[in-house]
Parts: sequence; structure tokens; C-alpha cells
Amino acid sequence: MARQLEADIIKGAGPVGLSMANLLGVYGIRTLVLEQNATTVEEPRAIGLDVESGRALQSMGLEKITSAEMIQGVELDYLNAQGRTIMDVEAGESPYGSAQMSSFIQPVFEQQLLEGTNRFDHVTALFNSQVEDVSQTENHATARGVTKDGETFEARAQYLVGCGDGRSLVHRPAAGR
Amino acid sequence: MIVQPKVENANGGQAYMDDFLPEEFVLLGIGADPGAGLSSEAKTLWAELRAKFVSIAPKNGPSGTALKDVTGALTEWRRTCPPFVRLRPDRFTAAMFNTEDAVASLKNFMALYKS
Repeated sequence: MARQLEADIIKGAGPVGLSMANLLGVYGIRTLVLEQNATTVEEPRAIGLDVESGRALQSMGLEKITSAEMIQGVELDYLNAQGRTIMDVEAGESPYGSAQMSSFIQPVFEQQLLEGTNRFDHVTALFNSQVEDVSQTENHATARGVTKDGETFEARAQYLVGCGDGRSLVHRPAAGR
Repeated sequence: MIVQPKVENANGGQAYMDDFLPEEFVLLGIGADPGAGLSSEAKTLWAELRAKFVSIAPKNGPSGTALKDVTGALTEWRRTCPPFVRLRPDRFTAAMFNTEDAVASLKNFMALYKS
């Protein structure tokens, strides 16, 4: 029989999923993170974090830890294909309490977010856990899948959240696929 | 998104405003007491949303108030808008209103919130 798991909300372990897991941790909501990969990312990807995200990190209680590994107040020029500046984000402070734009290293950042979830007993992150099927009834959603070791699991929750690029299985029923 | 200056609490401790706000919907009064002028109907509606009331006094306001706008940034921000601000947990403004608009504004907001 498949391993039975239960939570209020289930999602994946990218930067958005882990940020959400930390916020839900703060709000006391039982959260299960199901991630197909073995670890958080190991190669740098995104580099820019804006002021709204910086403020969200403050809500998570992680801004002191994360900002120590960021370059805060960087200037960014967004260029079009012809090399012309289409947007210029100024360096320095903002009136919102966090730098207007910061540069971050995604592997470090994701690791910090993952460690942040350890503060909460009601937030659990399971890696090597591939969701293969999602379904929903009026009362709950279910994610079925298998771990890298071949153990099957069945996780039930009020909500399933697709936090990734469009590849998450969670997006498919919503898109009618 | 509402500005976030440093504010001071009654013990003289300073920190960025969000650090003093509950991690929920907040009814913020800038230089105004959010509970004082509201009708009982408005208060019942707020209670339904589990909103927390927070007042931030101007820099030169009475001593001993819970929170003070020591930099003046909130007082400056509020010059262009009504005194009451309903803040979402992510600190974006959900609604702004005067005492006399409180019930109508809340009913509008609740209708959106529940849909």
C-alpha cells in the first residue's frame, strides 16, 4: 500500500515553493513539499531579487540570513534584442524597507530557504519524490507518486499548488489537459 | 505596496514597520485610531476578517503611544490618501477609506474577498 501523507497544502521545492512553505510556516499551516529532485538547485539560475521579494523575506523572518549572502542595491538595465535599454532599475535604497534590487546566488538562496522551513514542525520537505498523478474531489486534492527508492505515496490536502515553470503536473488539470 | 520606514515602539525600540505588524490583515490608522470612529457594524465586519487594529502616531504625537512614525515617512505618505488603510499580509494596500466610508468600503471589500 502507498505511504499515506496528509497536509493542508502541498507543493514543490523551487524558490517560489520554498518561499511559500516558509510563509505558510509562519502562518501555522501544515505544509508538505514534494520535490522530484534530490536537492535544491546546485547551479546558478536567476540572479535578481526585487523589493517586493525582499519584503516577503522579511515576513518569513529570513531577511537577515538571506541578505548576508546578497549584493544589495544593485543597478539593473534591461535591454531589448537591439541592446537598447527598455528599463533601468536604480541602485540603492527604496522607501519599502528593503533594497530596490538585490543580486543573489540561487543555490545558496534555495538552501537558506530550505533551512528556514526547518524552523517549523508543521512544514515537511520530501526530496526524491516524483508526483505522477494529481486529482481532486470537492473536498480535497490528491498527489500520487513514487520516491527514487520505488516507494509509492499518496498525499492528500486541501490545496495542491504548482509553483514551478509550466511543467508542474498541478497545472495540467487547471489548463484542461 | 505601502512604504516601510523605521518606526519606534513605546520602549523606544526602532525597527522596520512590518516587524511590528501582525502577519495578517491589518487595519492601519496613520495618525488616527482605527477603532475609534468605526460603527459597531464596521467593527463586526472587521472581526469577521480577523483583522488586527494598529495605530501609528505622528513623530510629535503623545508619548507612550504604541508606535510612532519617527522618520515622518508614513505621515508624508498619508497626506495623499485617507487615514485608514487596510493592508494585506504582503503589505499591499487592499483598501483605503475615511471613517464615514468604513462600512461601504468594508462591504465592497468583503464581497471581493469572498468571491
